[in-house]
Amino acid sequence: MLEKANDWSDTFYDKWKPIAMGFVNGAEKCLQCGKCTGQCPAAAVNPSYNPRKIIYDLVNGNIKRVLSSVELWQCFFCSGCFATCPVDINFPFFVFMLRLGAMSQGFGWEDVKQLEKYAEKDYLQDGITVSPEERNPYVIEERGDIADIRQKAGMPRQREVSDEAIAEINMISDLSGMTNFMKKIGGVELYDCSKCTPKIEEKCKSKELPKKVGNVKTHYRFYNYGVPIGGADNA
Amino acid sequence: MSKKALVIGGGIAGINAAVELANNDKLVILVEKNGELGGNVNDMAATFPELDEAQPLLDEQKSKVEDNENIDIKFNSEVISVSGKAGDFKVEINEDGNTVAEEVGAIIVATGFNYMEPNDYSEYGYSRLDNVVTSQEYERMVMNGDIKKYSNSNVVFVHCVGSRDRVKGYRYCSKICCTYSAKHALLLKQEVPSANAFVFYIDIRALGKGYEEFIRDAIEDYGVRYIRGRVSKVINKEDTLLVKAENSLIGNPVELNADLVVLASAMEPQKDSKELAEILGIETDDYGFYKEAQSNMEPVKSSKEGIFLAGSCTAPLEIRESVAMGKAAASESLSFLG
Amino acid sequence: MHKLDKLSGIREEIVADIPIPEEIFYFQSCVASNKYPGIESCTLDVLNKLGVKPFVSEDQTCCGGFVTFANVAAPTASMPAVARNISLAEEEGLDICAVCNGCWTFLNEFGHFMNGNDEVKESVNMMLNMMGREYKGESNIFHIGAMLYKLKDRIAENVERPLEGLKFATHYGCHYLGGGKYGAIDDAQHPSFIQELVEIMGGENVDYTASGECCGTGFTQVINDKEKSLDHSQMKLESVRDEADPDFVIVLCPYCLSQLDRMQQQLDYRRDVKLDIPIIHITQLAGLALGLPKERLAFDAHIGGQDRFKKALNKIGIDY
Ligand SMILES: Cc1cc2nc3c(=O)[nH]c(=O)nc-3n(C[C@H](O)[C@H](O)[C@H](O)COP(=O)(O)OP(=O)(O)OC[C@H]3O[C@@H](n4cnc5c(N)ncnc54)[C@H](O)[C@@H]3O)c2cc1C
Ligand code: SF4
Ligand code: SF4
Ligand code: SF4
Repeated sequence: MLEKANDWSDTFYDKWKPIAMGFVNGAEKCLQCGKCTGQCPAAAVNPSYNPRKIIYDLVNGNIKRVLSSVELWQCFFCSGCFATCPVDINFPFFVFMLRLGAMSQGFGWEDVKQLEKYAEKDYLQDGITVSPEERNPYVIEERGDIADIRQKAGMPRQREVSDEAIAEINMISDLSGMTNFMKKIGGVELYDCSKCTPKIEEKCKSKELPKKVGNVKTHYRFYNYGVPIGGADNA
Repeated sequence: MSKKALVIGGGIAGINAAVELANNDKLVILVEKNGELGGNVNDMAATFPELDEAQPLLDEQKSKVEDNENIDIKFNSEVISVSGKAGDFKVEINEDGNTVAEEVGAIIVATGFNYMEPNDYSEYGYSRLDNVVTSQEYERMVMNGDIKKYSNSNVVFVHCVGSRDRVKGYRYCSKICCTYSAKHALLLKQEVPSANAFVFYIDIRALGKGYEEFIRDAIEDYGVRYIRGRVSKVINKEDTLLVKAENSLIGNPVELNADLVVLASAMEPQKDSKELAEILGIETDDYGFYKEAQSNMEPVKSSKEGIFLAGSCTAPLEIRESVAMGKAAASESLSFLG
Repeated sequence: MHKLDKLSGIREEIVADIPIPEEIFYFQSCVASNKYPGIESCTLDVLNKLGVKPFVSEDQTCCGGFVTFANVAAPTASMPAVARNISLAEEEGLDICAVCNGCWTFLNEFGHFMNGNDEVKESVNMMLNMMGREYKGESNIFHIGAMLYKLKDRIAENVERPLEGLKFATHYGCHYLGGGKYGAIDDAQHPSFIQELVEIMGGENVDYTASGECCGTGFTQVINDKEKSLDHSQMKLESVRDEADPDFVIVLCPYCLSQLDRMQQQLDYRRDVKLDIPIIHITQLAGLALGLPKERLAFDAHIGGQDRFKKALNKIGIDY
């Protein structure tokens, strides 16, 4: 379909670079050679994921397409592309910063929401991001309680993190704005597709999620780099 | 009385410079580091774009020098010091272990290029996996018939190994590997018609007379398959190799089983090019290629008067341009030879 | 086969720079503590046996890498969290040894970033000063794999349980080799140091096509897009099963371990893919060879490969 290149932003990348704290540099050096995509595990399993195309759009300023895409959220963060890129582009850092950018535009909150508990419950409460409680019943069935295994190995039933340490990371969280950020995520309500009605579906396709919670206005993301085999519903 | 000329390097550029000077009745000292003339063309099976056999062509060139009484060839020799000025240089040459002093009016540098050994490219498995070779090794395989054993096989040609790469290689484009890789694919299809040739490229750079047509012929007449995308990895898969890349015109990752992978490695400056530049008092660019006095108007003059440049010691070049530069350098140097 | 004899990718200059200290700050990993405690017990015992005293601090929290890259915490929160953890080691005057690829890259990368960026360092320290701490940027962060490689001579002297007759495959993990391409001791594409350690311990190395592939967690993909994550793990594990058929797969990272281990069960339930592959951490490998008792190895915390565990361990005289 015809694209209007006039609408692309030629300043986004330049403006964004300093905000991104120097983590993202050199996208303009990209040769569009495809060495990254050829070994990318996410590209191998997702029909439309392609890091090369994301960089291309970033440099050329078609930033709307990047930020509203489903693909932006499909990177595995494996750094395989960085390991072989001939111009040393650290693409996973780009993805990380671009996702923050996407969130500021209201995209991607549904993904982040699913991960909220790791920060709120585990990291900030216990100081350990992986909870000792097993959430998968099949694992418990197979293995039993991890505390017993620790005990059998001659270790305390649970790894201790001192109260001061937990207080300190919470203080960091407050001071650095993470707590506020978490509140925002807390305000997002996950949209349950299994309870979808034709009416909601209609709305959903015309871009926005029906619910606007707190300060965050969330948007529906699109397969912007190609529709996966079997159609977009096949997500 | 007329002065002698010094030509450093007996590759195709140096040979042509020396012959041109000799034809003008000048005495020439040709200093060659190795025990034979011809440089990198010695490793060549055939030449693009006409697919002429390279060795008879080279032999003809060599004989012009070897049979010429105006040319004094010093094998296994290197220049160790240069003093004086244009028209009146004093040089010391280490000839096979002995130091000899000479006086010359002009110097032509034709030391050529070094072919990069892509050992750093572990992603391509060079010197780690069997059946991963450089293009230069492939030329030898064509000459000694080793490629015959690849009947019914997939042979993959990988462009831009070490070129267009700021991390492990060079930022420049080696200019002719697109064309010689097409030559290699074509030679494969001619010698082993049952083999399949795949070429992975970023852009096709066919910068020369007849080169574009040459590559199109490979595609159209010989069925060589071109896939746009820089190869990401070559890994071992049981008894064969697995090539991973993106087909970037379609946008999907592709995998290909291969029996032989040929890496078009970069043409880099000679390892000692900066030392020789120091001895001669001429400038190099950041890579170590010799720098011209002016890149548009003075392609064969070095930064120092009386010293001239020819061939692939200035940049990656094909034979045709190396020859032309050799002859041009010879004619420009005549004015310093009295 | 990899031709190790032809060209090893080990970066001797980086290995040479690793000191052999008397004591080291052992950086505890969340996944290790709460899913695979054998990694923890083995690290402590192995380091002790090799003459390096591990220092453990209850003030150490998670490195913060997960919440950062899951975008639930802004990078502004992660810098001080990293600095805080590193400052604990600095107080003791110790270098840090991480057992997880994630902790290692995250501490390294954000640490380097702060060291090279005085403004950020200052503002981070303003925060830390409030809790009576300071980040100086003096402690080095080493990966346990690199430490063990550095200590390979001591390992050789201390092998009590040679791993004869056992086959080992490797999975180095993206964030050690790829993400850490400027700090890792080995080449990102043809690594070989684990194989070298396996040889020292008397085991046999086996190779498979997908050895360089990601384990498949895809970081958060295993939570957000499980089917894709499973696709990738399935591809990898089938390559292990069909081509290498090892007794153990050695990993450098507890997170990879968790993925490759637990997805075996999920692949069985969801897709009827049968796999029986024990996945163990490099410290557990060392623990095996250095003769640690089976309780300390704690293989009963592993989900996949239990039948094979039994067979393999029985071969070297462990009644499992
Ligand atoms: C795989 C491959 C395939 C190719 N195929 C083709 C093709 O089909 N057609 C084509 O036109 N071109 C082709 N080329 C390019 C061709 O090889 C070069 O254009 C040509 O070799 C350049 O000649 P030269 O004299 O400049 O340098 P070289 O051939 O490099 O010769 C330089 C000479 O100088 C000597 N020397 C170096 N340093 C010193 C020193 N300090 N003192 C004394 N002597 C020294 C060397 O020993 C050597 O003999 C190919 C190149 C490669 C790598
Ligand atoms: S490998 Fe690097 S240069 Fe090549 S397309 Fe990917 S990001 Fe661009
Ligand atoms: S980091 Fe992301 S884009 Fe890069 S290779 Fe891994 S999955 Fe692909
Ligand atoms: S000539 Fe072709 S193959 Fe060689 S570096 Fe240039 S683009 Fe790459």
